[in-house]
Amino acid sequence: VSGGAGPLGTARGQTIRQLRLAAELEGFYRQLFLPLVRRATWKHGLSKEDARDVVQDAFVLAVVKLKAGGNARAWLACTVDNLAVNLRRKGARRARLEAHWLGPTDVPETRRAAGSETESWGEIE
Amino acid sequence: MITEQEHETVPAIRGWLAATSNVEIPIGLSCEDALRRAAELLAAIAVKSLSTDHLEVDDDLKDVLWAAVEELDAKQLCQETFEECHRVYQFILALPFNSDPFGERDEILHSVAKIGWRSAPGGHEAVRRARAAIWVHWDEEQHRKACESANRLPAEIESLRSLSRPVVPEIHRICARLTKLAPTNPRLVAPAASLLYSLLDALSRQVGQLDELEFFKAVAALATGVAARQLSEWDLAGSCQQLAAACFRRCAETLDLDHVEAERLALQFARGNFHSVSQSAPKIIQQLIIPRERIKAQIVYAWSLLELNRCDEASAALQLLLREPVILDEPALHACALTLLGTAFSHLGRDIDSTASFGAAGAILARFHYPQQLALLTGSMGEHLLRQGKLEQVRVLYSAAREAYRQVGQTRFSAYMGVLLAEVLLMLGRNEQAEKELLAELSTIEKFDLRREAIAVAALLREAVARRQTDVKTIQALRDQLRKGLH
Repeated sequence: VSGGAGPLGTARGQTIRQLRLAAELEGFYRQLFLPLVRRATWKHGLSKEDARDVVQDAFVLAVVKLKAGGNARAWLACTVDNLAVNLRRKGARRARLEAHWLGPTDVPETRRAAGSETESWGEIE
Repeated sequence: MITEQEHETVPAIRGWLAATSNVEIPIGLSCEDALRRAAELLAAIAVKSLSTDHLEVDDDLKDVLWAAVEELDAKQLCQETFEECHRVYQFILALPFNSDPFGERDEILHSVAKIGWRSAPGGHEAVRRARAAIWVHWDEEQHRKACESANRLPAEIESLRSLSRPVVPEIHRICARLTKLAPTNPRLVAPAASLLYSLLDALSRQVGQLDELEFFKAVAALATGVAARQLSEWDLAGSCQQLAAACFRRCAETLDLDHVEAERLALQFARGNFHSVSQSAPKIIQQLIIPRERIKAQIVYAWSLLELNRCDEASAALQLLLREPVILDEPALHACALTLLGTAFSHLGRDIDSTASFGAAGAILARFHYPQQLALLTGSMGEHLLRQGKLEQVRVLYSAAREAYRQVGQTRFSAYMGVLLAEVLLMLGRNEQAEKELLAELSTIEKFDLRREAIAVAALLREAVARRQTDVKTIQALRDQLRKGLH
């Protein structure tokens, strides 16, 4: 099997590129995306869906703000923490307003964060 | 215009965003499933029907472990919850986390320990207080006794080995002594604390409740690191700091990471990175919560300013620090700050203030045995008197400081003092003696690659030779030796 030019070579090249891309995305998914989703979910009490949105937002911010020389993981974790806290704060505000205007029965539930009685969630290096 | 370069991870993030813009990304186990499986896991841990040996920690299990924290957090604060937390802590500690890029295991362990101690009699606060006592400075009498009985420590640590199950109060006492003795007797503490760490590490799960073993391991690693820094074994000091930080992160009180943070700054200073210390210290100082560690970091910061000849800033920082009441509880740090302030005043030509500051440091050191602080004070006073041209007194002080550093095992500082002493001897016209002193320090200068000192030695020897016709062969041998030291 030739790896050179020609229709077969190009198709094979494309497949390899696709496989490589898929492997890179898989790595990214396991090493960055999922841990950050778990962080937003369990440390900040978000639903998994909200956590996913927060993490994606953090990635969008990273493209603009993450500069060379820094610790990318620490930066992402810190950004996810901040975005998750903001989202929870907004949720609480909305819940208060809805409780006021719609009555207590219609207030949507928010998930409790694990260890929520504790004051902090560890250090980020 | 200079633009900052983007981080190397950014292209991958861009690729990820492009690939996922229009797709529903799977988000792992649902919270409901995770909580259900967590309840099953807790039940299995309770009856010890689950072994960690063949368990693979995948993304689902990580969700389940986080959910288990939430389950434990919802339980009543009682002895039963405490015991359950202990079992869960040990179970998670034994799990093989092959990939953990965000340190989730440590965060989960930290949360479980915190919930556990909250459920214990006295609550988390009692544990926090007991642990903080390890760093509280003893009074004069206790300090004296600890210094006098220091030689017995290695044997006491060794004796833990023979116990089938070492008791926590005994380890606590040893840790407290190691922490206090690390700055006074680094030669003894470095191997002793290292031995304690290995011993605790080998004990695995047989000691204490919840995170106690991890806490003691952290203290032992930190004490080894502090002692190693004093002995200029910097790589060892750095790796001990990493070990200590890893263990502290698994503990209920992550505030203890302050001890490591301040020690990291001190190591950076010891390595001679004064500029980087002066830049990073203000932010670190702001973040430190433990008063003792904040003071330590402030001293390191002021010292780096002094080394950079920013004496005005150094003196301002030290005067501010000396106004903090908590410094009165830390004699060694107090004496160090006063000595540095004396030096800053001396540089600024404020002789009376300088002498007063040195005097105050001396009064503290007369009560508390801190040989390396005494050496620092003696050397600094010598430097001060040198500016006044009192060469004979300077010679005496430099000799005493060098000897004190040598006795503590701080060979790097003793070599530095040796070079300063030789300089004074040259000024006194004792050229032959100066040469002898310099030659005696050469092996240390080579061993520690002391470039600054080597250059000074070369210059001083040139001066000595110019004054006294030394034979050519000796000079050639010296030059070869120095070149080797300087690469």
